[in-house]
Amino acid sequence: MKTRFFSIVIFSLILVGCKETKLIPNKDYLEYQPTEPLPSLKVKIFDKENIVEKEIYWGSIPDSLKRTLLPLQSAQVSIKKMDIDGSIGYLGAGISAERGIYIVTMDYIKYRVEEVFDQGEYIGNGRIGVGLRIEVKVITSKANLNLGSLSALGMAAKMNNLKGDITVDIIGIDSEQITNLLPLSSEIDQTSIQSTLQALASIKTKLWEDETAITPHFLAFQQYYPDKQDEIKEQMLSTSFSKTLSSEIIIHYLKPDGKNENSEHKEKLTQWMNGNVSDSGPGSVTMLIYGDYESLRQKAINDLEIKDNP
Amino acid sequence: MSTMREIKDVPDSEVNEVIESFKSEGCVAKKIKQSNGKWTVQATCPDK
Repeated sequence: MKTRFFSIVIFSLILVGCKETKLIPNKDYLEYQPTEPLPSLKVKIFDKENIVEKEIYWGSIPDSLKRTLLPLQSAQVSIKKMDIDGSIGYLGAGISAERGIYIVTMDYIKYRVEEVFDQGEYIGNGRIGVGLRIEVKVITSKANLNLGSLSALGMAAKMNNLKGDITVDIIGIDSEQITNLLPLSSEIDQTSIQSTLQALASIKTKLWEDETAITPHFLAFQQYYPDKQDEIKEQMLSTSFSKTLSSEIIIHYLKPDGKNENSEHKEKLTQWMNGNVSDSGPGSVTMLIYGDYESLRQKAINDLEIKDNP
Repeated sequence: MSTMREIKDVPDSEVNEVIESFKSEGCVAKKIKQSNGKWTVQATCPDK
């Protein structure tokens, strides 16, 4: 069943194609819009015992449950065109193109949809998940090229109708084997496209293996009305300021004298973050201290046995 | 690739402390005034 699904996904990445060319500004585009992957800390689940919805941290649940909480799978292609003035817009339903600079993004994602409301009104949704993203940046030297499939891009490159680079991002799927499989960025040609697709097919199968770590990210969104992208991103990603006693305790733990960082404590907190939070990269400690993550701070204080003396 | 982080509703008295904290982690941080007088701090942080 999985093999069949992955075959469909790969075919959809290869074969998608269409007809007309129409540039739509980002703010007016109402279809799928990929975004730079951004960390997602919490997820809402239904607590069967207490019959209530509650928020939990992705980092507090096993990878098998994370997979369950990402029930949707999709392969999406979006194409942006860069104008001479530097503005960028999406190609609408059409993916044939005039001469110019294009960014083709092909996503295979396993995700969940989070609805976004503004004062009670539905304004769109965000997609939280993990996946594979192929990004192809090309400069075309001929009009009416099909940019919507990797095979067509490879063919056009072979005929010297375009040139560019292909990059692959593996988002939130991690294991040693996956790192070894990850193809490097390369100039676009049929060989690089073929090797990229082969690597991606292998990586997709690793998604289900027990040793593969799953770290959900905010990957994409879809507006219901024009010009709502900022509100959607803001609601999906930001946290409100919350500096409490637990914040002060952690600040004191990191800087006992109020000025200099205690490297041993910093290392312990970093290791704790690695084991308990899905996103533990630079900036995550500041988010922990000043964001609305009281229960997570309490857990850090308990686990690290930090004394209450800020 | 970099990661964008954001904390909204930061009081005026705390905004510089939050910015400095992001900077100490290697991020580039800026503050944006909200209509309610508080600040949104946005940080662009490098990957690990």
